[in-house]
Amino acid sequence: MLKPATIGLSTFPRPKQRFVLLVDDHAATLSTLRQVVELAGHSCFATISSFEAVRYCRRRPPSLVVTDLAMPYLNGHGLGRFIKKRYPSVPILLVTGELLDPETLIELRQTFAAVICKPLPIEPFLRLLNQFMSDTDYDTLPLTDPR
Amino acid sequence: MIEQSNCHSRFCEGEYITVAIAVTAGTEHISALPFVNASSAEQLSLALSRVGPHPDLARQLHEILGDYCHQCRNLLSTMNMSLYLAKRAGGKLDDTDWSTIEWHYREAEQFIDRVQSICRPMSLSLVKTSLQYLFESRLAAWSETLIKKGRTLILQGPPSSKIGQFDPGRLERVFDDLVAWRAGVGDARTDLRIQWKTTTIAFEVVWDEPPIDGIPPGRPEIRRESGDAEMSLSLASLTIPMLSRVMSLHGGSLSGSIGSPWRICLSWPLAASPT
Repeated sequence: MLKPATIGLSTFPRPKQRFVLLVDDHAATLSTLRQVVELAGHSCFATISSFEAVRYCRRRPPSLVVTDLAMPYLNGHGLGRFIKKRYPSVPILLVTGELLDPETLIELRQTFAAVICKPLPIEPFLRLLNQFMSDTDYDTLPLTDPR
Repeated sequence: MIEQSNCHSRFCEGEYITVAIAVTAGTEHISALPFVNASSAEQLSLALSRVGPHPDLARQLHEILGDYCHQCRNLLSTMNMSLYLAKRAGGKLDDTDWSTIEWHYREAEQFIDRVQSICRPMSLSLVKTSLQYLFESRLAAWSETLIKKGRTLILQGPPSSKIGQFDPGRLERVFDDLVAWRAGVGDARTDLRIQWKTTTIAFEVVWDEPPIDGIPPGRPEIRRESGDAEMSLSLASLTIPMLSRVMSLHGGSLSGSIGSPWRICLSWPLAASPT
């Protein structure tokens, strides 16, 4: 198993800067996803550990979260529920390589703004990314965790 | 050359059914498969065909393939994003080259989808209809597919057909794939023939490729050009296991040879039971 760590951060989000939190335990996928998001003009924080994602959210909530589903210890659904409960205005996109049955999909849609299947369809993903990043009103987000 | 045989026997609705898959295939002619080589495609096809008649095995394999295909989708996702980044970075390729790369990428994606779908839990939508209607409704499209390859479709059946209960949608899809597969790899000096009949208890269909009069059958030709829109050969090679699974769901059987001569025999009860 990969050691939980933050990987490949090229642009650490500046204070008050909108940013996307990327979470995927598959390091290669995460690294390329970060490049795609940055190429689209968005800052991001990328981590292969959902626990680190939680810690980072507590320090500084993101404008958008893009997370994988199947991850060790705390999976994407658990991470999504945590973020939705603490930061309900933060949209969360789920990107998964799992084949989902209709019941699971309905359940996931209660937590996630969108569920996207891998391999990631780039253009639709970028449309969603840009839409959510422009819709999110950063001023309404707390700078630190309310607790 | 692969020579393998496999026989499964079981009782189904009071009827003794033998499922026999015999493979005797020259593989050298399809060694240029773009995604998987001929040997691995045929062996995978054969292995999955063995699973088709056994629901418990199919379920177990579905779980194993689920984990495996999850990893494959991660890799594909990385590849897809890398291609996008390379293209955006102004990779020195013309549009045709990019189209070819994207075609190969789609092929890999579809191959993984197909592998996974073979063992996916499946149920039938049973309809009371005739096999004749199914064949006649698809005849024009299948003929067109084969004519592009200079081949002819021969449909031989009774003047009228008994009504039976089966899943026409699922059969139509798998027969479409069968025709696309044979159009891609079948010998240009043969026709594609479908002979079918109904007995008092079953539908029986035989697909084969008889030689065209006066032209000796020989080594099949691969005519697919990289980048064309036809069904890929690696994808097509998985048609037989899917057909085996569909036959099994109908309580029927599949037997034949996917080498040379190519011949597939299908039989399923007139009234398939819901699964």
